Amino acid sequence: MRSIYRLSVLVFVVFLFGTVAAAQDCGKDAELWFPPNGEQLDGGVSVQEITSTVCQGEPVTITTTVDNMSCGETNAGFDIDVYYDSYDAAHLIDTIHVDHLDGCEHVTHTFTWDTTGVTPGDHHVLVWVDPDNTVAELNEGNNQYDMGIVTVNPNAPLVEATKEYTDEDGGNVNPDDLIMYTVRITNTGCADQGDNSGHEFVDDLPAGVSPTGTVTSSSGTAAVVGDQVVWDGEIPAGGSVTITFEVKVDSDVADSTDICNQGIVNWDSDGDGTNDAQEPTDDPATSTDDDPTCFTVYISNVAPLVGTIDAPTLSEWAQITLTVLIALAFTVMLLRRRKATA
Amino acid sequence: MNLKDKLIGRIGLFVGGLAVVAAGLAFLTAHDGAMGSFQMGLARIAGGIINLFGAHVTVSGNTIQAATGFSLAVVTACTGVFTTGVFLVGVIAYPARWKAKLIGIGLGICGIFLVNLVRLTSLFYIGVHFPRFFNQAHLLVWQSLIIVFALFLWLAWAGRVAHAPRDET
Repeated sequence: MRSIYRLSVLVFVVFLFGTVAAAQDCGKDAELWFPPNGEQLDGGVSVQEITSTVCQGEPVTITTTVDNMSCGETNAGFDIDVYYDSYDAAHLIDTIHVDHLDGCEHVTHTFTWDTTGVTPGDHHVLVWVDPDNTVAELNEGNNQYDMGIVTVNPNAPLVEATKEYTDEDGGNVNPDDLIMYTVRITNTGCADQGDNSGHEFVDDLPAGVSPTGTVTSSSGTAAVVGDQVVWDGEIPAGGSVTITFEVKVDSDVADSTDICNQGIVNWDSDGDGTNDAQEPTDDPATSTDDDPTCFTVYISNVAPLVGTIDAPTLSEWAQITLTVLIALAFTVMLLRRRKATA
Repeated sequence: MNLKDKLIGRIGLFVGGLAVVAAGLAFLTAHDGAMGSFQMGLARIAGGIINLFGAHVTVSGNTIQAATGFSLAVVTACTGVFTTGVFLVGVIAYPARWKAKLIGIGLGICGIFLVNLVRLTSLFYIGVHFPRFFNQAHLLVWQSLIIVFALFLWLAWAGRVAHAPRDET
């Protein structure tokens, strides 16, 4: 009985020492990193967020989380720097100092980036924890993180345009077919595109098609002038206009003729009320940017064979048929031979 | 061995030969490179014939390519190997002198090769110039022609060569 008591006391003492030792410093260095979105921390936190699109001069909110994945606490304070496009002083957005971070803990901070004077366009937001290397870490190679892209739009119009075609009777495009073009002009800039001097959109129709006179637009005024389709009007910031017009394929177009063209958007790139820039339409059906919209005219409704085809000598059923026929012939000839021999 | 046993033996030999041909075709189809040289050679010959008639095709490996974007790949199943195999089984299993069998083997290999060559060149021509008729030409016309050709060639061999009286000289 006495020995059981002594053994119990020994086990309790060992357990107590073990618990105290575990509660103390684990003896490891800290390990700071930016857990990417989608990667769950212990507390379910993995916040790396930025505003995706702003107008030039508007603030971008950047929320970043630094995690210490080690059980060891940081041995010194450290900075969290936020940059755009490049990790250098010229691109530094802001710095926050963190005094201490325990093991297995994380800290979340929110920065605000004033985009006044920032060149319009796409910019990468970059974060860097402990840039001065004051904290001894298990891994010093994971202290930087690319948070993604912020699009800074200019305080002027910024115009993109697409142009698609539809054969009204479907199938291949044949001579005399009616083709409906759909042009969509979008102003992604932060200022309205005004109805300035000159046409905002001009489309010179290519050889091989003729306008039918059918033309519509969701706003502004569209018209057919000779072999040109023109449009005049305003496009508010963030808005768009859709222009549709119909053409007829000429009767005498040769087989396999490609008919391509692009419309041109005249727009005001600096917001001074004068259209000083041009944007050609893009065919969204292709991956190439700002390319013409094309279709091919076929005399027949059968498009040429394109691609690699293999032509097996016999299909499975044909192989079976051949085998059966040869087998029948074989048997008949054998029987005839047997009869002749007998 | 009586005549009935001989007859059954011949039919057994024929069926066994067909099984070997079927297994061989399955193997060759699964290992398309096994007949790679033959396929490339067939493609080169067919491409050469097509160019003889004024076309400008290129042959890359086992593929005959036209400038229009159409190309024909000569895979294992396009070589006529199954048709030739079935024909040869019929020749070998049929009771005839070895000389007659050798003639049958030669006739079968050369005849089916030549007809298949004509098939490939004509299908390529149809694919480029008359694409709407390609499937009919491939699936209906040429498959029927190949079956009829192989059957009549075998019947002609069995009736005229295998059954021919022995040369007494």
